[in-house]
Amino acid sequence: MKHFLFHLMPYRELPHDFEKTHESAWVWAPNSLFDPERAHGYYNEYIDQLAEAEPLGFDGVCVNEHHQNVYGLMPSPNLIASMLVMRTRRIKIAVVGNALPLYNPPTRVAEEIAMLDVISGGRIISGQVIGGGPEYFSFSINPAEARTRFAEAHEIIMRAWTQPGPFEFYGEHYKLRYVNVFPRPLQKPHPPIWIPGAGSLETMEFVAKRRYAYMGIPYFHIDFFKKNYALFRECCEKEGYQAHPEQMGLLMPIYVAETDAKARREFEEHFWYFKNKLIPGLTLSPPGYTSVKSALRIYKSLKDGKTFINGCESWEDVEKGCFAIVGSPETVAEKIVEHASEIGCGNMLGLFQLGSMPSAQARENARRYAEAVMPRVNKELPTTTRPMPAATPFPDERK
Amino acid sequence: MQNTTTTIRVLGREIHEIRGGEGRPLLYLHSAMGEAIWLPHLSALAQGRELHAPAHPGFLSSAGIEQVRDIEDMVEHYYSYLDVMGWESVDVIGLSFGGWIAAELAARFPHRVSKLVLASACGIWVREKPIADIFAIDTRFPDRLRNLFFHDPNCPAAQLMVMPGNVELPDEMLINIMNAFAATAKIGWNPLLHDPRLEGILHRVSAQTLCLWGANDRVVPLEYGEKYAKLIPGARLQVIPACGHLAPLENPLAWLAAVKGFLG
Repeated sequence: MKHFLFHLMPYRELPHDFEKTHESAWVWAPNSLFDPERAHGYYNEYIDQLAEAEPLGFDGVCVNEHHQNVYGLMPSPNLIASMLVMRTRRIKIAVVGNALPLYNPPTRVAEEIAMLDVISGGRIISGQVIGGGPEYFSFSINPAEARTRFAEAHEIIMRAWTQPGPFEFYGEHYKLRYVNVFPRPLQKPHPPIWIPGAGSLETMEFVAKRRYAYMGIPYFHIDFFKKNYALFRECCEKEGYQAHPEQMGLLMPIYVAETDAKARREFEEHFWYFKNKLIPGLTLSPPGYTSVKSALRIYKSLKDGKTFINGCESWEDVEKGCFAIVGSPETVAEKIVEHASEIGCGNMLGLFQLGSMPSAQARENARRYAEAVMPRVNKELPTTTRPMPAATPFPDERK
Repeated sequence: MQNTTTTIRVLGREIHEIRGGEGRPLLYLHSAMGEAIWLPHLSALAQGRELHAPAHPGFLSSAGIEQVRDIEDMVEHYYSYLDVMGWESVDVIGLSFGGWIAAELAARFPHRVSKLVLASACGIWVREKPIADIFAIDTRFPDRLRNLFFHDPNCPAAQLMVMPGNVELPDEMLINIMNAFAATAKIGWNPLLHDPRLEGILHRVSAQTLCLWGANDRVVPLEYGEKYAKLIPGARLQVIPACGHLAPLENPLAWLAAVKGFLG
């Protein structure tokens, strides 16, 4: 198993009645709440936590992109990744991902990721994502074009990395007379591609066809994940190959303490801060953002009110749906092994700081995970030696 | 009143249309609700006229939204539609989003529109009174929805207003709602439900024009009716008191009387 430390960089000290006075943590949560003095501390602590993943023995770190919200202070994950490139020597740095439709021209992503890859000596994983629903409000980008923009932007980036320039790309959305990205990435043919998805079949088919890695968008009931990863594996089989474990990543809040009881006692309030204050608004789904087929499927699976984290009302709900893995090292390892082996994933992505959790506590949590959980999991689920399938290249249109 | 549903081809797109009545043709351009269905106010409009209510590309079973990039493409679609129907010129009623299309059509191709009714129409912008962001409506709160679209949220029509999230809807209806919102967003997401070029060309409209507004429109406020009436030569503004955005549903009698009085 490969282990990644994922950080959302949340805004920690919101007013205690925030959720009563604000309906959304996204788009409309007023930026008068932002205190730069506090955020100075948050950013530096969070970057320390990420950098510490290397000496702790993690395989990599993950950063991600969200805009205009109190959920995460990382509108530019590439900026944070660039700092981590200089603070680490060995581990992978996964940007999961850049929201491609928000970059115009999207060659900007190709340039920045290539810079990071070259400077880091080939340690970058390029996550590419359509962007969360709220992003389309915050950036005034047309959600009805989200999917076609993503597809075009993705093709531009992949071709910019792998095909000699300059070439012309005249698509529906992007008209680029000269694509000639300089620098190109160090990894050949390009950095690994991770695509996050929330259960849309089109995304899984796309990822399976191109032989990239699929990462489930978190905060769903474990059964929903299991169904989705089974679907993904089927998609790979339809493409004529067996899904590689490292083509799948499972992202979860994780908390480890000496005993189960102590873990819950230390963790629970931060989970509720996260769920009650930071999650509302995350599921905004602007019109046209998903296909009608996917929207209907997702709508129906969420209808019971228990499939997404916002339906959690008691600790029992949290445990039952495995919305967080919390307990002693034995318990946490056991649960990871149970779920990961059923899902077949070879990447475990942990959120070790969640919601209002103070930095010292988050660091201890990550340390206990690295020391006492990772070896247990790796013993049960050793990293496979089978090579990852090679990504399907885009044809060079000039040939 | 008898009505028929038919499929026509416009620019290679299969277009769903409902029609009924006899007399001179009258074209109804529906709102973001996609009401190319035989609602009572359509039936009333078909008395003495041959009423045509096509569904815009992307609405109901009308195809071709993939090729409609923006409002200009939508107007070209309707220019071709008029050709398909063989109408040199026709009377047009547009409600809300449909009113925007109607105003563009009459401004860009003045000779194709004889009489024009702009009912609660978006399409222009009044900085002091922004159009409500219908795309940001939280479907968890049906009361807010009714408050936005109606003067009296307790009127019978408001009670019929449903959104996924608060009631169980059949798949077909859910799909229609999602498609309608997606198609509206494709044209009107940003800038929100208007075309910054339109107000500069409204002086070209040669159709006799009625701007028909609910006095208490919380979606496209009355100021939009006033601005349209000011910019379109000879246009008249008629205001229905104590009425909201969906005027033909909230006060059908007053709305129909105004339209019929104008069309003659």
